Amino acid sequence: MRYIEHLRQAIEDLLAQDPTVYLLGEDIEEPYGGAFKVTKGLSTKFPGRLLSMPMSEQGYTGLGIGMALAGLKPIVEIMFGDFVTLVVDQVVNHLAKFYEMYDRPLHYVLRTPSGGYRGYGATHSQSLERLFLGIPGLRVVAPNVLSDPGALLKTSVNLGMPVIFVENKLDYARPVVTQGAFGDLFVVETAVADRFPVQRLALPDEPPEVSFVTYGGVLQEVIQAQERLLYDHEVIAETLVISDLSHGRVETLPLRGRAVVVVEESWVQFGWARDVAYRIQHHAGKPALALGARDHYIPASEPLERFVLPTASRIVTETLQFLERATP
Amino acid sequence: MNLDLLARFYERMFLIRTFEQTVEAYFARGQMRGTTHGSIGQEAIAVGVLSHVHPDEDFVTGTHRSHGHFLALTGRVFELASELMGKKTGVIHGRGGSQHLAFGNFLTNGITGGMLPSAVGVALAKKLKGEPGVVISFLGDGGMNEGHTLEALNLAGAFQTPNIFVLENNHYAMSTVTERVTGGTFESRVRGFGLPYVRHRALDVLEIHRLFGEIYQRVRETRRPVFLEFETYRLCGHSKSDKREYVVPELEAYWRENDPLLRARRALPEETVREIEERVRRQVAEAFRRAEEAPFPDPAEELKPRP
Ligand SMILES: Cc1ncc(C[n+]2csc(CCOP(=O)(O)OP(=O)(O)O)c2C)c(N)n1
Ligand SMILES: [Mg+2]
Repeated sequence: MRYIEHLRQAIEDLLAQDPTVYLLGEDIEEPYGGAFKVTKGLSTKFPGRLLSMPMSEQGYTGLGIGMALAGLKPIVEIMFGDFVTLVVDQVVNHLAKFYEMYDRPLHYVLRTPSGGYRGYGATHSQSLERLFLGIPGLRVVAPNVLSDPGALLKTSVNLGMPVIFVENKLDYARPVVTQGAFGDLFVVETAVADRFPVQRLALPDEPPEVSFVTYGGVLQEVIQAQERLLYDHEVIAETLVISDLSHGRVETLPLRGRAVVVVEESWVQFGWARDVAYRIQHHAGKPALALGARDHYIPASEPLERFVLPTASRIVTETLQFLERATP
Repeated sequence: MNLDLLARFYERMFLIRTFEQTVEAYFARGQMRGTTHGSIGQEAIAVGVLSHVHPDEDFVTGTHRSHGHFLALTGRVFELASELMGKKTGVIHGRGGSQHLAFGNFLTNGITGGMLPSAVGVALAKKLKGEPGVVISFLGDGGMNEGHTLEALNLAGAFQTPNIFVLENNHYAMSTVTERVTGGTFESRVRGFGLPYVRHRALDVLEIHRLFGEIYQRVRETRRPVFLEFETYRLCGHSKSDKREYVVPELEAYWRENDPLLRARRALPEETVREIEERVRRQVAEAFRRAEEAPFPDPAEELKPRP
């Protein structure tokens, strides 16, 4: 099944099994079914459970918070991840505070599609989940094509803690493989079994020299880099893909490479990858490098966009240089 | 005039004022940390409005200036004094402080107007679940110019939720005279979102009680939102350090003359007033003394690790 079908099935199951689940968002009802069609068909199947919202992102993000305070389980969709700037106050100063400071269990999921590589330009391509990382009282969860997005969504809805659920626009159309063969070369397995598992993509039986750590849609570029390193440079790599970005235990990831490259799609400065690399280097004692977008807005034109965002070829080049520097 | 009811209301109003004055004195002596926003002059609204609430069914949201709302609703002086002192015996064990209170179905927060979207959400949930009760939300004139407030009013108008918005228009947002930075009128704005609008000059606590009672019953029955604006005045600084250099002299003079608390006081027998005031002064002094002696919270208990 494709990523989008996992999500749609999970939402359908949640709506069917739990009368307290509601969906809020712009254009989510029929005949449109959401800007990315995640909720296609559902408003007909579940009349009254998908609530079409006006273009008032902070207003209906807060509306959902009130519903959660009243014991419902809202799933709030923000059409593009870029628009979370408009809801930061409701999420950071209200949702997170009600949960932690007021000690109220809250079932609240804010779903939003993130990411670039599509030529949509500066305000429709960013990965702004970074704004919520490190905020106590929030959990940032990102599915990927190696972790069942539907299962992650169900876990998030029933967690009892606010979750920012970051989907990826290009991943929607991709097939999900959570165990076994992935393409001709690699195998997928669970590296850390958890409500939000860490998945590993590796060659069967061959120990890797380098471990990639990543999340979300940029996994696609990392997998290509992993292939090219093998074919073109005879460097064996593995990839660990994380789904709980607030995961506080990256220090104990079962990394098999002697060096680690952490890749995120967003800007590397002051970002997730650098924080994870720091923690791995200092607590796991392995040399670690952080890779991500360059310090520019995300332009529309393809060569410019691919200059800014991390690409497979840049990951290969920088990984090889890093391995050379990090040779004992 | 119902003197018994007035005496009861006067006691609450006097409790709020005494509480706020005591807090001011603590700050002046450097005996409290953080900041505080007093509600001196506005007590009649908190008392008149919240006298109607069913705490189990209704939901109430406050603001950064909600000591009065909390006391009108609960009467718990010791818990509020403790909260302001950061003590374990506080409303939420000192985690919140003056601006961040949570008690049952009563929540406040420090972002002006920021509670309104949640308030509409709670009301929408009541409607979806077919539950009784209404949501009462206080806000200030300054908060009326926030985007989230306008979005929330639109949502209430669009979804016809059982909300009562209570605007306490005290004319100032900190040092800004709100009228000078407001386009159009609040009334036309609110009506533009499809909400019925009522304005009342908040001088008489019994009158506020009567008016709010009508609106409250109406919203309980119709399950549709109403917006109520009270003209009022803050007879104290915006916060602990405010020297009030910005006040408009005519407004100041009018409201000094027409302080709703003194109006209620004048209408009561002297003997009743004396009894009430003595009782309340003792109650507040005792609560603050106990709060001073209360223990501080333990981080290990209050700040739990992430699940
Ligand atoms: C979003 C936001 N902006 C600014 C402030 C700082 N601030 C606290 S109270 C206040 C004025 C609020 O005025 P109003 O809404 O009229 O309420 P009042 O203080 O008069 O009760 C300001 C500017 C804040 N707390 N939140
Ligand atoms: Mg004001």
